[in-house]
Amino acid sequence: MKKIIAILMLGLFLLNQDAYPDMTENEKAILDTKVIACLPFTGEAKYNDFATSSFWQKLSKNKYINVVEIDKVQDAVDDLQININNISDRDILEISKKLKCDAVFKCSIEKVIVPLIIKEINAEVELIDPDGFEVIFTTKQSSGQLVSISLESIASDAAKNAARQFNLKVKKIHRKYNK
Amino acid sequence: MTRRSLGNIITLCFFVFIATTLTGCGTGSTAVIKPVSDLKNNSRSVSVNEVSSKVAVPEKALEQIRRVLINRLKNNRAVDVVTDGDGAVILDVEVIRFETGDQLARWVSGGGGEMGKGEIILETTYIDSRSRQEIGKIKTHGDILAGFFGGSMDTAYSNSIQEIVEYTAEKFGDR
Repeated sequence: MKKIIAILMLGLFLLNQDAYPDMTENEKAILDTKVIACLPFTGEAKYNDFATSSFWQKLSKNKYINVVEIDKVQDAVDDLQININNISDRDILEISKKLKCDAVFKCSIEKVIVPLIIKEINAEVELIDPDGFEVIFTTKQSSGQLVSISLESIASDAAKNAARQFNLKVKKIHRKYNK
Repeated sequence: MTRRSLGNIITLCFFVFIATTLTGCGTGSTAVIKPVSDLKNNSRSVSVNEVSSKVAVPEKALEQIRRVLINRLKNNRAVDVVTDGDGAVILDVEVIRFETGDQLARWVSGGGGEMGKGEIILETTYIDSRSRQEIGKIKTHGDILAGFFGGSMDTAYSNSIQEIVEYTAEKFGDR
């Protein structure tokens, strides 16, 4: 009888233990994220659409996460009358409720002024958890070219690089904890 | 550096210069505004409406864009192109940016920076001919940054149109 009680207590003790003690809060939040919405990029009006589209397309290839379609996000932004150049926590909460997503990407691009003929654009993205408004992932990626490549293409590349970083992070976390 | 290797470098620079000035140098990009939804039609034929414009564009250029688009779609062979009537999918193309740039500035700069850049943005709406509903929308950008004596806007049209052809073939092509 004593043995059975001891085994049961040991079982309860093990059940209460954190399965992955080394998992960070952000990793846990990313692991729990199943649906994501990407807000349109801001920063450079001429190139925002190209960056948004490329980011969304690259992110949609992520097999661990569903990404809300680009036009549905735009419709939600319009319906909620959200100013994407000045996103508040309340906006994030409202959009996540409307689109039924677990996290929202806030994205921006910036044209870098560099000398001579080099063109460069930085893309910065932040994944925000609407429960607590914590930034659970952030990256700043750049793309630059010499001559003859349009800034539209460079903006697309920078956004793709940012999405690639996120995809890699998600893959790494899932491989580490969801064996 | 030997005289021979210096000669090789000069020759290489010469060919790069010739290649840049003789060929149209520009790029194309696509932005998906509304991803293509399922087409309730088995046929994979497309037709192209008259090209319209939100900005000032010469009538000749609008005709040229439509003609080149139809030819490219036919050459691509991924979709059947209907020219007399509606296909299963109708492509409604609108020019939303049109800047001819400065050919002389392009020639002088040789593609450096954005000097004299000519560019065009086409917004293409895909319409299901049966339901008359919009089933997708993209924006394609084409530009010309350099070329023979600065290159012509034809390269910008070409780059932008090629993006439409590739997206259309990918989404509606069956071969």
